[in-house]
Amino acid sequence: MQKIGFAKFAPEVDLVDQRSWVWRDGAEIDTILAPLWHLLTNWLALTAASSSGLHDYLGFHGKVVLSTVMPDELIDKLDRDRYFQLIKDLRPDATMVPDNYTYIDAPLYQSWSQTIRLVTFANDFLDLDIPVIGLVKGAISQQYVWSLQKQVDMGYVSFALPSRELFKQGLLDGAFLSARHVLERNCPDAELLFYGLAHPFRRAKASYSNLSWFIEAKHTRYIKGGKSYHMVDPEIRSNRCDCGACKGRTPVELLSLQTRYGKYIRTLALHNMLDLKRYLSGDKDG
Amino acid sequence: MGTKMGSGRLRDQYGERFNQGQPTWSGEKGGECLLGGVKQFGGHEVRELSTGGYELSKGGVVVGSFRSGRIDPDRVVFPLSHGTWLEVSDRGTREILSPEKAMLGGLIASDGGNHFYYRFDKRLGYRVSYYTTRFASEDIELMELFDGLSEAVYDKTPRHYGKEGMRKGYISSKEVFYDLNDLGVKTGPDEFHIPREHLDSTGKRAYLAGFFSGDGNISKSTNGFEIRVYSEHKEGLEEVRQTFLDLGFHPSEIRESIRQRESRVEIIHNFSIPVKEHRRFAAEIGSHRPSHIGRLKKMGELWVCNEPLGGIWV
Repeated sequence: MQKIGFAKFAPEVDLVDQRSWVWRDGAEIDTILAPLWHLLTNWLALTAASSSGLHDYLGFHGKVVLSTVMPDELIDKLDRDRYFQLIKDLRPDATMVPDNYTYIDAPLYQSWSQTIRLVTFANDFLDLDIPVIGLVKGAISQQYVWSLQKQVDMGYVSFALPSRELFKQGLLDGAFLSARHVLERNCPDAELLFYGLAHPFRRAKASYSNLSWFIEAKHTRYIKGGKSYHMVDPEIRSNRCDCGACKGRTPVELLSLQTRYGKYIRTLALHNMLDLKRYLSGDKDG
Repeated sequence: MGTKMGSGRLRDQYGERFNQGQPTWSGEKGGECLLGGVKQFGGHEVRELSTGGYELSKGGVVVGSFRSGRIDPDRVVFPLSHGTWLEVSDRGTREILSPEKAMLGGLIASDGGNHFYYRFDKRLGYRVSYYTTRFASEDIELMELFDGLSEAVYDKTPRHYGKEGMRKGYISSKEVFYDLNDLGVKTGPDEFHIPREHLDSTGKRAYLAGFFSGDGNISKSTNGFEIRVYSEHKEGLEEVRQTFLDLGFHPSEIRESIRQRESRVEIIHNFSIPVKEHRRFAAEIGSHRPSHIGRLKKMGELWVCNEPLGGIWV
């Protein structure tokens, strides 16, 4: 299986909100993650994207990775044939193995059956002619280890760890240790993507992807050094930023842009994305 | 809307969403027996229980039990909490907003706000977060509507300030803020989003009634009356237009106009409802603003005069 080659930060985009399509404002991005569920809950967008393919729909010429992480209600609706049809229509450059749900406070029967489903899908997705990213999921460490080992045996080398809920509930370290345990011993060249992680959780060699940069912008929140601030927070309100979006303006000056056409949100989103990208690449000042 | 995303603790995800702590227990039923028949909706089965309430199952596994519910010919609806209902139909399950919550969302999207801010508290010595859900209007009837809807949905009575001219009402609740924020009811200072995926046709009508009461306009024109919806936020207004289309109306394309407000020049976007659909608009959507109601009544008198066989508008 071919490696994806993630940069340190690969932004996720909102497929139905064009304000998150920051490449149109000049941002240089190699890879984006496109959540399939945004399309599944919007019939018009799905029709448009299916007819033209994701690249033309988004007007993006880099690498588009289809993310299959989605709400539980949608997971149950999709089978192998539907996934293959969607991938054929959307024509992404890479995709993830279909998501499952594994809760630590649900009966183990449910999480084991979901884990087996994930491994079955991973086997089915070997038939695709594009690179596929394995998923690190489980309710207990045995499930993480077993499903990851199976995917490594199938030849998967790129993995995504859906991290949002795990981090919020203090469970991410355990999941990461289980994944590292398998990958270091059996697939040392593997790459790991923390998917959906908003807060700085720095681990060497790992990559990150989230939509927080855009969600924060929609809530008029400003990211600096990986942390989110209110626009008029005394800590940042007068600090000039020299990123490609702010061009030397302070957050207060950005706030004065808030007028029509959503331009202000677009500028703020681009700033947040560039800041996270720089911060996660190692420049702590962002 | 906060949705279960497949990892971690299920209980925490319910808690995050509704502050409820624990999902409804749907395991042992303690000897309850089934009453009446079983209704099939897609892959789901709904049973009425002898102890009252309903049991929802899928593939023989009970997935939920509810104290009350409403069975329609093509769907069944169970109330959850905070004005949210679970709809089960042949198309599957989805969470929808009650008409009250939809209308509240429409009011806030038009003339309200949903935001939080920090303030340094000198007495405490640290920053304190304030969560506010607001609505402002010059009409006391709309303020009363906002109060009534807030109480019906969240069981919270808004506080008021401003007695002359513009009246303002607000709820200070983190729970309300996050619930509406998850729906994207108000996405920015002048921006909003319609959670159409969580609205059935009744909810859509209620949302539009709330929105129109704030940002709608009924004016006299050479041909009679003109019904327009306007907003500064073009994307949001497009969603409003789309919602009208969903309900079978044929609104015009969005137009732009320039408005001078104090020293600011604003671009306002608007669209109108065609004259032949005014009567349907009045019957199905309407408005709660007194000036709108007066004009709709005048329009109704015209219809009565012009259509002797009709004249059923109330």
